[in-house]
Amino acid sequence: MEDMMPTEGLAAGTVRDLELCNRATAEYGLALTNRQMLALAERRVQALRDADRVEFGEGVLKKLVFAFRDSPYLDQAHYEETLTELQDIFYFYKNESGERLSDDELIAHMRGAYNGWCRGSLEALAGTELALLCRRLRGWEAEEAGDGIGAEEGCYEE
Amino acid sequence: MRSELVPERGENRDEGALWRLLARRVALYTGGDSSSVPRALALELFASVRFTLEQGRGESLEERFADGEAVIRDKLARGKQLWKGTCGSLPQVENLSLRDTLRSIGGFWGRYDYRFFAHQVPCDIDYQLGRPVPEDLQGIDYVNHYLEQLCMENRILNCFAPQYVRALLGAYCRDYRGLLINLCESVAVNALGLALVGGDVAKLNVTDGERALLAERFSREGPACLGAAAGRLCALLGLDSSAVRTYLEALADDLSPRIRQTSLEEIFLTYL
Repeated sequence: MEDMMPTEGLAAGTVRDLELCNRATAEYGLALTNRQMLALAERRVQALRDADRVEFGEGVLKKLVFAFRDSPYLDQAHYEETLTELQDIFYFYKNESGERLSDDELIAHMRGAYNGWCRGSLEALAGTELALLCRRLRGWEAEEAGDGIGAEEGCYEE
Repeated sequence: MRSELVPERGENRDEGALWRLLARRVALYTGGDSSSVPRALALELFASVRFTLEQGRGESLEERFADGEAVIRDKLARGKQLWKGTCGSLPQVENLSLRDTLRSIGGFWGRYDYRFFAHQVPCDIDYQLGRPVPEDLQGIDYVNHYLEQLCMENRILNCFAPQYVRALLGAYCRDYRGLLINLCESVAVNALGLALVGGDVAKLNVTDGERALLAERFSREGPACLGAAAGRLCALLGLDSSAVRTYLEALADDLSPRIRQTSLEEIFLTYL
């Protein structure tokens, strides 16, 4: 399958998306330079490779930008670095969640925690909040299968 | 990996269209909720797309895919009939793996997801056929081929009285009920041998005298002469089927090396 994967223009497409994002983040004092956009686009390929995932859609950078642009913990000085980290975290925890979370659900959870008790700490977000979330999801899955390893009471019940 | 496709030009056109088709299947599979999937899952979805395209015809990939899905649905309907027919015409000889395999195939019809995993065989097929299903067959093609072969083997077995079949199988393998053995092969081999030397095919019992006759024929004409008995055996059993004949000829052909190297007592069996 990899043989037929189109590879040309991947970065260009991501950069085009990010250029559009710049307009939407201007009022929050956030902007990416062309070099930063290209670096983020290249990092996307690496993040997918690291997570052993294949992407067919437009990628999550645009969604991440829109979800985090109004965060009180995001500033221009750390904008690129934060987006890079968020993108890595996203793909990593897509795997860890066992595909139980949609892109939007995972991003919403990331946003809520980052702006909430994590207070802008990516370490807390990735190392604690999302790890715990995924452990709960897996526990919930195991409990459903009836193997007795249950999730914390009341978590993620419908 | 990339988010959008390169312009369709030259040799990239087919790959671009295939990639777009795969992207649509992935979007359908995830319900549009996820722009990415694990590589292992993407490979499975791709294998399914490829299998479905191989089934269909059409000008565009979309037409081929839609036609392929229709072909698979037809094959599924035929497979269910085959399975019902096979379950309804089992030989009166008990074998655990045969029973379990048919039960598992019974669950296949509910588990088989031809829309996304058409190449998979979601059931346990443990019972060994006399001639295995070609390894390149996948999905419904594998199951239908297996059932066709099994049905044919059962037709052969049902030509003989169960007590003779049981007696012969007992001589072949004491625990023929519990072990993973094929029921038809030893029956067909004995029947071929008896048909070749004019013995009592119905009783399936090769005597010392008949083995001596077989040894004489093999030394004079070579082991390949066993295949010539396939037509006679079909006539004797009233099996007017080229598939049965081909099956018996292939079985005889497979036996040739064993006939050259092994004692005939271990091939053409006697039961007491």
